[in-house]
Amino acid sequence: MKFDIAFIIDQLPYLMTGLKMTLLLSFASLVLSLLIGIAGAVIRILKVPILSPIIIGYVELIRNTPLLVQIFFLYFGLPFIGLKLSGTVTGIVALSLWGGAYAIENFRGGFKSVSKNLNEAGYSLGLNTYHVYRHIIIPIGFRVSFPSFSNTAMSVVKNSSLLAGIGVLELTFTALNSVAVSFKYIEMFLSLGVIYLLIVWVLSFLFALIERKLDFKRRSSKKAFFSFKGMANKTYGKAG
Amino acid sequence: MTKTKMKIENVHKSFDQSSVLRGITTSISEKEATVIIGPSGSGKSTLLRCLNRLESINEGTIYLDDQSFMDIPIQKLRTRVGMVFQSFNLFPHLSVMKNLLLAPTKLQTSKSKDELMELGYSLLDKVGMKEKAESYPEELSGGQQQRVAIARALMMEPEVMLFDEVTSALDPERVNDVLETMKDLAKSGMTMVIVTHEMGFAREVGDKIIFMDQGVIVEEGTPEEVFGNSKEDRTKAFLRNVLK
Ligand SMILES: Nc1ncnc2c1ncn2[C@@H]1O[C@H](COP(=O)(O)OP(=O)(O)O)[C@@H](O)[C@H]1O
Ligand SMILES: [Mg+2]
Repeated sequence: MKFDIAFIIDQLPYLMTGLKMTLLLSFASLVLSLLIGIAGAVIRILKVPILSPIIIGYVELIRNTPLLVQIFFLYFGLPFIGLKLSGTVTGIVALSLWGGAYAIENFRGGFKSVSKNLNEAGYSLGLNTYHVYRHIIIPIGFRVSFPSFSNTAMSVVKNSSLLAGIGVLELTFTALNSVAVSFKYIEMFLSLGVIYLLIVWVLSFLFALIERKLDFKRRSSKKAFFSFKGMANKTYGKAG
Repeated sequence: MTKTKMKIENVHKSFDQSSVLRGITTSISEKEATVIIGPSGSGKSTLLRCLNRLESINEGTIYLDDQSFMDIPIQKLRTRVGMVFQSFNLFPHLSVMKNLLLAPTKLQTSKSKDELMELGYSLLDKVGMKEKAESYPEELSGGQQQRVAIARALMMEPEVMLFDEVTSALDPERVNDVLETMKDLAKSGMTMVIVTHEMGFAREVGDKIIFMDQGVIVEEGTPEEVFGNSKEDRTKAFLRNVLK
């Protein structure tokens, strides 16, 4: 059997429409995951009555059931309670809830690593809990959590392929459509893999750039771009 | 007689089962430096933290200008009673100037951003850190960080300043810079409550010395009384230990 390059080139424009959808789904879900993650982490740490147990249950549920089952549940289950969402919207909701649950754990770890001394310094200046979270704990903890959140983000992007299961016209689904008529499995799935690999590489490059930007230890002194000083130290606010 | 700034009456504080403050009664005079000394674990930090309500008390009353703590909103109280910690606690993600500006820009609506900047520069100048306004905390030595922390607390224009062993985490050669800054502050008439192990400094700037042990005030008085002529055996034993 010969590898049919021409077929791939021929199919690229069609795959690109799927890619666009994958990027849209990923972007929307990442933004929502980020918001859910930060809000959920703060609620957990502050032990907000009623909300905190709800968050615990939500995270447990999401982390201990398969994402594909969650997607099917939302897509086929919600219409029974009168909520009929399109595949795309279902996809964004499912990926955001999934990414959000993991992001809550990512940020919870980061926010908790911010030394209690820094909170007390904030409170001693007369700041209230909102100020302390908004201006001290979240900005510092975010930096600490960012590497683990990037991993969650990468998983969200890869897992968007599961939305092919409910017929969302994203990258994987366009590939399935294409092989359904051409039977060129090897060519198609190999290309599909390469495209996902490229997306994830670009994304991890972007995240590395953001991480560098966030690192306040290198901000003022305009250290060289490739200096690795302070990269390993992830707890801030200790004495000395 | 100077005016009483804070009155502490029969204050008790316990953590779980252990009783840490067991009936503290004393007063803090306005424009004076009150220095608290005592062995570690005697409750000095806890007492200081009660004075800006970082800890709540189980029994007793604290007054600021004759007003009970319970009648002062907690955030308002903390802007009136500033605190500096052993571990500096500068916000690592903010420059020195932004460390100074964070709380006042959120809380002091009476001043414009420009006025606050001006106040910030003048306070940094006062603690000898004006050139470092744009630096980040981790670029500064411990002594420099601590002087910035003092300036940051002063930004709120507090009526009382609490200092909890602020030189204990410093290299010996940096201690003096911070002590000098505190002496200047004392001379300028700030009401200060200082916990320290620097006995020479305590004797020099203290208007009143309080010796604490095991959650009670064993002895208090002028530096001459406490250091030169202590009445209690426990005080004598402690001083013998630290001065040798
Ligand atoms: N948050 C806390 N929880 C439990 N015990 C505490 C707490 N803070 C202080 N203590 C205890 O209270 C006692 C007095 O501590 P502290 O006020 O820090 O003493 P000092 O500052 O004189 O060394 C110590 O035995 C300490 O272990
Ligand atoms: Mg102490």
